[in-house]
Amino acid sequence: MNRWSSSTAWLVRVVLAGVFIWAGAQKARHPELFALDLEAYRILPAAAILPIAYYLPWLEILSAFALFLPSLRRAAGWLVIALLAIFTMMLLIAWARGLQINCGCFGTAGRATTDFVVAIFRNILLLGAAAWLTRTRAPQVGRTIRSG
Amino acid sequence: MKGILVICLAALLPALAQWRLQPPTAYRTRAGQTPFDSAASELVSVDTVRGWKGSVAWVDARTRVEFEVGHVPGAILLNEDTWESLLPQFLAQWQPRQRVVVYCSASCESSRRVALRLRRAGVEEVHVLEGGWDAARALSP
Repeated sequence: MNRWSSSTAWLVRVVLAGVFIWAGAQKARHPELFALDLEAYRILPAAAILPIAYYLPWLEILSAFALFLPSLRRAAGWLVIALLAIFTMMLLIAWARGLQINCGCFGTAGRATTDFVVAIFRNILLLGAAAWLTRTRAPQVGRTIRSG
Repeated sequence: MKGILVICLAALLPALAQWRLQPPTAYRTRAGQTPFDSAASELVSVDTVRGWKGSVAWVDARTRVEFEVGHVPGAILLNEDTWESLLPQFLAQWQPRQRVVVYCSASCESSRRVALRLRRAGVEEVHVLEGGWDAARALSP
């Protein structure tokens, strides 16, 4: 990986982690309000909503921090991809159903009704960034081994 | 795979700690909650409210502009954007044990969020008006 790619990977990692930490922290501040947002999708069974509302924000935060730990970086990348894929699927379902809801993407920070096109586009961008980051890590390790 | 498991398990710790320190009491105490549709359980219709004995505190969870255009007589403006500044005003007018009914626009979610915040603030019986402002309009002169 050349210097430019390395700097770009670092920047992408910071942006991705920043978004996840911000989103997770906003949800973790008010898990019960986040539970209402999850409820509005009408996808999850009632019994699953509260456990998810308490757990998911912390999973987002820890995945974001793990992006900076060499031993967990790859696993964190896959987790971020999986989470973004699930979020995007939920947005697509809500959009297809014609729901007018707050996506809960950023907890209480976004209170207005979500523009699904914008939210899905944003998730696809983040998904692309996470996929690129996960894919570009392998050569970095290989180069280190070869040069060492 | 091992790394994913480590992160997933690590996230359990703060989540469980938060559950213990900040239990979801307000979410769970919604009136008549059912395991199948917990969102529908806190809803009340205009007719149900009309049948209640005693006074009802109406809370308008819409924007100030919408509130000023029209609202239920006696309703208090209380939305999430101005929560901190408007809550004391509401609590000063609300009488303990008085039922509270929150409404917003017909297809909005903010009344449920305001209702939950009110429960967390110690208001015991909070309901959400089915149909929102479109239904509540019948009560305004």
